[in-house]
Amino acid sequence: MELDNLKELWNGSHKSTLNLNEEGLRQILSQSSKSPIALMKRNLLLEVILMILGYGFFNWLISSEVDSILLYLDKVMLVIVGILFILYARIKYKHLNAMECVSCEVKSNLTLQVKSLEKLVKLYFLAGNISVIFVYLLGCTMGYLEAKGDMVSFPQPLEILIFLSIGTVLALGNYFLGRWYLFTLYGKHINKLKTIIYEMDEN
Amino acid sequence: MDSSGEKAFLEIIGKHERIIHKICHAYGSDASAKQDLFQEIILQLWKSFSSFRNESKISAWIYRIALNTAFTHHRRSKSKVTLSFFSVFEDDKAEESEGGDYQENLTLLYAAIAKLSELEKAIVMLYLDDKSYEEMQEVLGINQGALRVKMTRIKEKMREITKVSQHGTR
Repeated sequence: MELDNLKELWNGSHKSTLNLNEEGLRQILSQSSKSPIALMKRNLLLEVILMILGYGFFNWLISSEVDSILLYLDKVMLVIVGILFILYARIKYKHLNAMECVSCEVKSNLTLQVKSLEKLVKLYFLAGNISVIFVYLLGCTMGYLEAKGDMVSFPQPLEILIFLSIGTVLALGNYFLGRWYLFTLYGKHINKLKTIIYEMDEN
Repeated sequence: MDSSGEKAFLEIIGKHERIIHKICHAYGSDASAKQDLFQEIILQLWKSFSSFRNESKISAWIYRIALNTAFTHHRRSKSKVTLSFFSVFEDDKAEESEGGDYQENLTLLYAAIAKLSELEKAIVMLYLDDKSYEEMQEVLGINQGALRVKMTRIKEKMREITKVSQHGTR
């Protein structure tokens, strides 16, 4: 079968038409996009909603407590977490919007998508790891201060050992879980796109 | 966009529908995957329609968007909604099962295309659609020299695939 002889055969195929009309178009447009970027934008929206709910809950929890040094620390931490999250969401949203150019040449679009996806995955990974360590440190400090009350003193060696051991297990667990999760979610897709780009560059 | 915009869009799609149909057929594994891909391509074409400036050929614009969508399309689950006009993808099976040399050759051609890589599928489709190397470059962003080399390899590969398929079926 010679490819040059198949053009007629190819051009005669798919004569049946879809007859897409205005109503059909509206039906399609009412469906949500399944592109990876659209999915990531929806995920970001979900993250923002969850953050607002969580933030509201902790705010309510703090406001119901009596005034103390702990309450002051809680509020400061809450503000820091809020600022970091806004920063994270802004960077992610910016990347998502600049992530694709579907009407551009295929190679440039795929390259753009791979670069942006890799940046986003790094951001995800970094944000995930930092936030777990931050929350752990914060939780332990709060718990320690609350438990000791007015008798605050330097922690005992055993307490430091337990604190470091749990922290290391948590950080390492989160690191490997995050790597596996991000690879499952984006790694295969990035590799697929990289293979296509590599094939495009190959002579 | 107003209804005149919708009409203009539908007119363009109507004229070049076969490009989208062929891409869905080559990249979709089954009728449901083809429907999904078709829907996604229409969505992406619609989103880009307002920025289309007539600087490039409409067919090249459609090819770019359709191929970009096909390459990056990530299908997690089957469509929950089947739109009425999508029955045309189900009809493909009926078309394929109709006898005759024409259908047999077409089935063989699609089976051979299915064995190519994602990029090779795109190149072969553009080639079969009689696009020049310049137009292929405009769509894919690969220089013409490299495209010619790839095309020679693909022709050889297709020859081998169809030889094996023909011997296998006889």
